Amino acid sequence: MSQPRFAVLPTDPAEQRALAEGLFDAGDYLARNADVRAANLDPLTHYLRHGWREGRNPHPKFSTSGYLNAFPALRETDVCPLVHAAWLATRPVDPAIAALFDADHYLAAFPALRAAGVDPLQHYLLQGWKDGADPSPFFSTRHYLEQVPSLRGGEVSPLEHYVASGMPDDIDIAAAPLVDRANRASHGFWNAEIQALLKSAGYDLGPFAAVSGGPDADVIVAMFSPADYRRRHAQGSGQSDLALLTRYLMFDLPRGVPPGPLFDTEHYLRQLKAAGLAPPNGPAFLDWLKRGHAAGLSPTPAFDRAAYAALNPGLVEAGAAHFGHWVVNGLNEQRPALAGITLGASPRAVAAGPHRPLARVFAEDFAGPAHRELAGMRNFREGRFDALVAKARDIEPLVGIVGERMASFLPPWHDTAFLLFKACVERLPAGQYDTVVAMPFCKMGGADFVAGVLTRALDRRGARVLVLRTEQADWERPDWFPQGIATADLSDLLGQVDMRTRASVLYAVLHHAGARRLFNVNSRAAYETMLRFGAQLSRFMALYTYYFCADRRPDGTEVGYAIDFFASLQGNLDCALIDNADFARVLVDRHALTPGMAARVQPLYSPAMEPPAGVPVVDAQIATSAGRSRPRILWAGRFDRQKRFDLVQQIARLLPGWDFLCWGKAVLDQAPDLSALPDNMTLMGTYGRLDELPLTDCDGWLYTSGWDGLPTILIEIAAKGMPVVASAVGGVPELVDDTTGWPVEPGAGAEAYAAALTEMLADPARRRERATALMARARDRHSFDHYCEVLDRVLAAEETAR
Amino acid sequence: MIDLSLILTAHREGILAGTTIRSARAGIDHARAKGVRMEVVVVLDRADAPTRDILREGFGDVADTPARFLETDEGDPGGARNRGIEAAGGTAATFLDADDLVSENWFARAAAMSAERPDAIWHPACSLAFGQEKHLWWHVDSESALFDPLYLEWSNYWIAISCASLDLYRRHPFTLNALHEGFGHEDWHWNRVTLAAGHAHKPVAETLYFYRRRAGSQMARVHAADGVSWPMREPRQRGAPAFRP
Repeated sequence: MSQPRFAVLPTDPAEQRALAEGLFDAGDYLARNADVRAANLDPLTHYLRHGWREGRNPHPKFSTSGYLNAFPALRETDVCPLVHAAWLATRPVDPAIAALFDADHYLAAFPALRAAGVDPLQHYLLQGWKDGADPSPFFSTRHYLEQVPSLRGGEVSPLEHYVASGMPDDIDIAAAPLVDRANRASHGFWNAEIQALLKSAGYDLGPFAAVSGGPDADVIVAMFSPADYRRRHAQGSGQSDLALLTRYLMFDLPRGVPPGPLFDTEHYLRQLKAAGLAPPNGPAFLDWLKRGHAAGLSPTPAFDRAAYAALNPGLVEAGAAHFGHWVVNGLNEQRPALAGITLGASPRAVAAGPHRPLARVFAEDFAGPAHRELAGMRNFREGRFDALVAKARDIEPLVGIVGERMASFLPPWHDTAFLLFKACVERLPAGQYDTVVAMPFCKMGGADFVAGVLTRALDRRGARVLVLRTEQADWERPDWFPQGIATADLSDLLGQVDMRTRASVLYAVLHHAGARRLFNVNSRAAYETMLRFGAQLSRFMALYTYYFCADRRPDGTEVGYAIDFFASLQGNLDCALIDNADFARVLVDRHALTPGMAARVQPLYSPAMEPPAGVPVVDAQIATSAGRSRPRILWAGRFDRQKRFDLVQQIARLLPGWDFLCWGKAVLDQAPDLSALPDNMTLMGTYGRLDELPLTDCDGWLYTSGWDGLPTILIEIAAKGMPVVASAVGGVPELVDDTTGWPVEPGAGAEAYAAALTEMLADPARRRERATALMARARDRHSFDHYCEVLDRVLAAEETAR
Repeated sequence: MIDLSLILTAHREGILAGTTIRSARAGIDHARAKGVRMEVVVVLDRADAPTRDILREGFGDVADTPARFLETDEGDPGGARNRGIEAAGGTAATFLDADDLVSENWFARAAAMSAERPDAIWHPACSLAFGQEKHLWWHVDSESALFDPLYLEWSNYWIAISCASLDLYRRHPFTLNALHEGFGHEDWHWNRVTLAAGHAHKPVAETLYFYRRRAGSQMARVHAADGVSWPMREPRQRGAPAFRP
């Protein structure tokens, strides 16, 4: 067993027996196991040696199989479950950890633990957190691990880490909004907890506990607004919601301070007056707790008790059509609480995390200030509305009757997608941008690098560039982009909606940002947006897409963005940018473009990640070749179909006197079987930078791709001045031809590659000549300056066309 | 002197215009009773014969309310309204589509509010969609806490039906749609332009517009074309509409 905790479990059989003895019920064991009784065996000895393995139970309240289910890792060991349980019982647990653990909550989630005799806290600490279980309604294991990912795969649970770290404020232990947590807890729990808190602090429990008819504590908790509290007390986000709630309950509630905007003092005073009740004698919130709540007076214009009952008839039968139900449950359930307003559903991304459900945003931020408008709507609906509709209906019966439950929109509160758009806008760095570069994410890929190059080139022209990530949040290589570049991750927001809505949102975001140019570098959302709104966008901004080589299915069918979108989008584009001339030619020929149309399909060679070195590595290779007993060839790439790692193995078998050092891993396809590699092939794992490879202590590079554009790795290799044998597919011959390397015809077998390698090795002078020429080509054509020059020409054409 | 010009735009509504005529006449009678003098300007924009006939008959004899009929070839809702505004002579103006209805108090109340705040643009308090779709749409006051300016970048707050001073309409004509290019929603764009020019959009309390939802309507055509509003910015290509945001 690799787990260190288990390592300290006693291994001495006598110690194990001593541990287990206290939990073992010999009488029960003998009563249940006639064979043990008949053989006159010692029951504990039998259980420890054989019984647990046979699934027998050592105690009526201990299930051997249930215990093993609870700790599945034990199955891989030879540790008796009873010994394990007895050992766990002796392990000390920090009282601070125990205090944060809610056994009832945990057992409610894992009822089998009780039957198996498993200690729930110990289970959480050893196993449960790894399965994503929460130790209490107020502590999210998953959210904690997102913030402290280093705990993953280790043995320290988030709860232990939290306590050991001094319960830091900058870690949010709860993923769900406070109100959700409050809802999950029982009324009794909250009442007891809050009363205990206040009592221990020496406060009078009068405000709600001692007042007959007062609301349950969970109503106050649900009314509490952490955001409002932060604003009022100038608190940053360092304090957790729970910490703020505790402060409020301890220090503010006893003074009658309202828990947040859901208590609107002015509204309550109006309600009192309308009900003919005297004004409060003291803080209004305490007055509401003492008599307003019991009198059914709403503390906020966002809630109308009569409307709540009318719009939610099921609640009336359940006796739940009241403010308490609305604030604890109804808000989250999107239940209508005002006649005339149909609220939209909150998008998950908007409702999750620090965001509040739409209904709560409306209630907290808008209902109070807009109470006059809301009152006007209500008065109209309850007053002349029906009579005016009836008169119109007399003229046109189709007008019909307006029922209480007819959809009634108060924009924008009905419009879920707008909230998503708004959330996107709030993500944008402040400022106006004339250029947007849309990319799916920034990982380590060639297209990600190209997006960085493009952004740098645009930045160099003085463009104000905004980089949008639309599919995933990754931003792994900020060094590929200009320092301080404005970027926003919209992926989680856009990912919440269907593609049609996604296109609408991105369309509006582009206009909001002020973009005059849009470059799409592999963003699916941007492609869809251009597909749907290309005509409209093109009237106001120049549109560009980048196309890289098409991918191929196993049956040879081409797939990819160029296949899906080229023909549909090209009419609205200023220019399509292609990272090699071959694929540009393929697209022009395939779609029979006229010369004028073809001018808007522009090859744009990507620069090398690093400028070419001064001296080609081939010089050092030749100088050190005497020190190598066998020729050494390098290969690096994905172990995917496209890169033909199978071909590399065949080539290695044809050249048993050579060594092949290979770097890479499977990324897109299933990992290949690596169990029978040739003896002269060594897998070197993956690398971070090309310089980590023995570029000067080898004899050349092998490239075997089955199809390609102009791959970044070859440009990098070229920039180093490396001798190269490469498959002449796609754009590769534009870099590697008979003057710069040893190209191999597409589709050729391993023999052709072996012959090319042999030829390359045979003539050091030619090797130097071609590798040096390759490096010169990389320097001339794959430099950042050259990239900028071509891009300038492309953009100049756009500016001329206006 | 005319207090309020009713500009009724008609296309091919046919006998659907009948209930519109009756609703408008009820509103005109109500307004007259409140001391509001009105005129009717019927804009027959590429109208078919049944539509023309029913409207000429329906507005030919409204007491104390002159009616004029314009034949236009705009083929565009905003263009038709612009032509009506050119011909109108009231202090204020309002619009009505030839298949919709208004609450009987709309004309009188809207004229009164426009007289009180001639710088503002007034809409019915809410719009009740009927026919193929039924819902209520409340018109938010751009000067209230409920108003979120960002929403106008996303969608429209107010329907095309409004009441404002004739001068305001003349200073801010509607931009023509270009559905073949995907630009529609002339009312949405007009709302943005006028708001940006400093004119508040406000609901007239306790008034309604009854908006007929049907296949083949202008709105249905805009949706079918995936139409969006003209952005509030200078286009980059020639041939864009003549407007200055």
